[in-house]
Amino acid sequence: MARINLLPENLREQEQKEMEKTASRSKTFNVEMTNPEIQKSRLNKSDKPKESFFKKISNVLGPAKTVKPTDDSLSYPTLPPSRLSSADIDLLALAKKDRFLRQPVQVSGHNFNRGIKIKSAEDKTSWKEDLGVPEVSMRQMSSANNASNTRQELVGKNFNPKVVLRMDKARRWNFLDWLFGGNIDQPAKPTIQSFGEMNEKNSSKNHLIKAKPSVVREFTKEHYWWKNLFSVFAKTEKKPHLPIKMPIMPKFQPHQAPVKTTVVPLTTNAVSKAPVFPKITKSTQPKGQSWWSVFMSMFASKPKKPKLPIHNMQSLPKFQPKMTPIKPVVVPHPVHVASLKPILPKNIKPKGPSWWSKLMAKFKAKPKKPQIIQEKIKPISHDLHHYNSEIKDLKPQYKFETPASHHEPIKHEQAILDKPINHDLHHYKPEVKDLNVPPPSPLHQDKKKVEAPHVEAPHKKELPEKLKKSLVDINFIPEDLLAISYYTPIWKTLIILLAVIVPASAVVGAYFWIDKESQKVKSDLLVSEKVLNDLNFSLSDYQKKTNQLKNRLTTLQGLLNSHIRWTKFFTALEKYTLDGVYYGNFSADTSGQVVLPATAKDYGTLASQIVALKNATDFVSEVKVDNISMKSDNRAGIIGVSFQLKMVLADKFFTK
Amino acid sequence: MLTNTDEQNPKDKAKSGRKKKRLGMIINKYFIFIAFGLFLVVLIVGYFLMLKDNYASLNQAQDKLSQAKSAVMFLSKEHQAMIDSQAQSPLLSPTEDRLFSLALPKSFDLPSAIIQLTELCKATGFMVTKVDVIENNLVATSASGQKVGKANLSLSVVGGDYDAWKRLLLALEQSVMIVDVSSIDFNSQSANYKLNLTAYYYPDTDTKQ
Repeated sequence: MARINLLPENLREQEQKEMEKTASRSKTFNVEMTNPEIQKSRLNKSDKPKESFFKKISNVLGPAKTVKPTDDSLSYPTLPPSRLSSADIDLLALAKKDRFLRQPVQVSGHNFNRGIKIKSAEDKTSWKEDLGVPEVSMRQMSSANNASNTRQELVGKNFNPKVVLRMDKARRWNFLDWLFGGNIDQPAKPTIQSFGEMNEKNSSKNHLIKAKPSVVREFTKEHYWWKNLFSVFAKTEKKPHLPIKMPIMPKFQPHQAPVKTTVVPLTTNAVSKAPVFPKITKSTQPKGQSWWSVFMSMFASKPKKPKLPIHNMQSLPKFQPKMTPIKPVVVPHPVHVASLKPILPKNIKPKGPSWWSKLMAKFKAKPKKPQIIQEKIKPISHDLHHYNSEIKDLKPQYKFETPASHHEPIKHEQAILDKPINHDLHHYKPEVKDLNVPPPSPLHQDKKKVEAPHVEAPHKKELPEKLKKSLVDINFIPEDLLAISYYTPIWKTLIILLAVIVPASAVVGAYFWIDKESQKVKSDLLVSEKVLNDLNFSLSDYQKKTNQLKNRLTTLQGLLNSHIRWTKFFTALEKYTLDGVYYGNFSADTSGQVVLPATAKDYGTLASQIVALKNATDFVSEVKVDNISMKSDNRAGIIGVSFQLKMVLADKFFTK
Repeated sequence: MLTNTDEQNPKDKAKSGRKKKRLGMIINKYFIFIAFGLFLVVLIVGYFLMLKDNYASLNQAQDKLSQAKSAVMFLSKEHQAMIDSQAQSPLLSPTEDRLFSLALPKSFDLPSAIIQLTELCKATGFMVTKVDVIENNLVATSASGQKVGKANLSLSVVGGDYDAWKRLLLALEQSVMIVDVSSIDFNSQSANYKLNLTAYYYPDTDTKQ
């Protein structure tokens, strides 16, 4: 790629030598900011045209806080591009060579390339270069300036400690890029150091750079969330980093004066075409965004279509991000259809969706009105941002055309323009109202139509007419009836269901509980009955055994008591039988009657025996004697008296 | 042409419509009370239809269970006491049981009776010459009212004098087996003695039953 060196030929060689020396020493340098004398000398030098050039560049690049003059002494009138001095061009060339400017910049007809990493023989060792960190520090720049007095002056006057800090921040950004794997190309930092090389396309085709500035800013898509997160808290970063490519929107063209272009030659005699814009008042600039809105905007990955309510989607035209400048989008006034719904009495139930959908709708969060407005405004806020960025791009051109007598307002205006664009349109609306401009042109009227949704005034005019009739509350229901709070059918159904289901379930539950309990009790009862039977059987068996034994014992006892004792009989018979009496045969039984044939020696013995037996009451209760006769033997004569003794034994004689 | 009935119908309809509206208004007004009443009705009806009888049966079963449990407790105590008494003082010792079975056997044991009688006679100096079983399975009632089996025996012995005779009678009276001498027959000129005996046994009527 061909490069264009804007330095004069007499300085080119000297500058190249100096740069080679400095590059061979070290790749990184520290800025000599500690020397106050140097700073003072630099700051005291008043080269207002050069400062204005820096001012112009910084304004073109974006937020120009870094180059903003710290006091009034540094405020200076800007010069038209035709007055671009050779020193300015020299500085641009130096910056281009040092690869400071890394973003495409269009300054008064000069289009510089931003974001393009320039590889040269010098930057092949440092990893920072690979990551896109600009290697040229302020020391390097100052050392390069030493070779050229003109450049030294220029740099010295615009030297600011904040610039150095910005430089380091840029490195940090790139380091974070490297650390988190982000894009190597640092997003455009509109600082004074970020000079880059010239757009070679434009320069190669013709050495005249078109004066018309590029409206579209190329925002890299590879911005990551952490960058945005840090950018929220970095208040010095006035320019919002949008992670999207901004859509092409119609240019904001102030209505006051047509664009004037001046031709500036590429070299010192070069001519550049720069549009001239009229003065913009303070009120046109929106206020800065709050950190919260910026933080929330990070999560908005893409500029989506406005999320309008369903009933409004058909009434509103779809947002078209790419609009031609000739035919702007006219957004109609958002009308909340829900508000147009006629108000009906409570007890009159219009037929509508099913009860289920009504029930579900009760649990849905209703969309809030402010959200509706915000959603409608959202896409337009991006447009405004685009307008703002466009205004920023056009700002230096405007400054070139401003006469010196308007320095103070321009400064004030610059401060306003440096503020970040607020996405919230509520801040923007009153400013649109306060625009103190003459009647707009037809094109401008179209643009106003585009901005119309931001202002709520037109809504108020149309809505009441449509809604006045519907908002009339006509209710013929008596007040006493209205005072009663009726339940909705859904609630009625729910209450009835509850009134039936709850007791029914309670009864069923109690039924099952009782059934379960009864089963349990029955099973326990069966078990206890079985145990009881076993115990009864064992006890009855024991009792039977004992009873049997007892009966046997009693029976035995009875038998023993009735036992016949013949020995007692014979003992008593021996006792009551007299001498001289003897018994021949004996036959007896237990009946108690005993018949004994006996023989006595004489009758006296017989009589004594009878008496003895009669006296033996314990033995014999009755005595009879019969068949008394003499007993004789033929050989021995009379032997004795024979008789038959009949006795009745005493009662229970054998058993006693 | 509208008939009378047709003319009256719209009025009736209007009246019924008014009644319905009034009813609807009342329902709307006292809806929560109606719902509460419905709640109570369902609860009461469910109680009487489903719960009452089951609850009563449950109560009865619980009462039975409690009674059975108390009976079990009582019987278990009795059983435990029986077991303890059996363990501490058994009814009969083995020897006692043996003697008891010899004294009053559960059935008439003729071999045992023969052996015992012969042994007694032999011990007293007599010799058994004849034994006859006259009757068996006679049931008699004891003094205690218990039924006792009887067995009549006729025993003829030889030998011994009057003193031996007396010892024999004493041995029969004191024998383990309960034997009653029902009749005695002897004469002084011979040494033959005739005895009619009655033996007893205790038939196990309870086990038979």
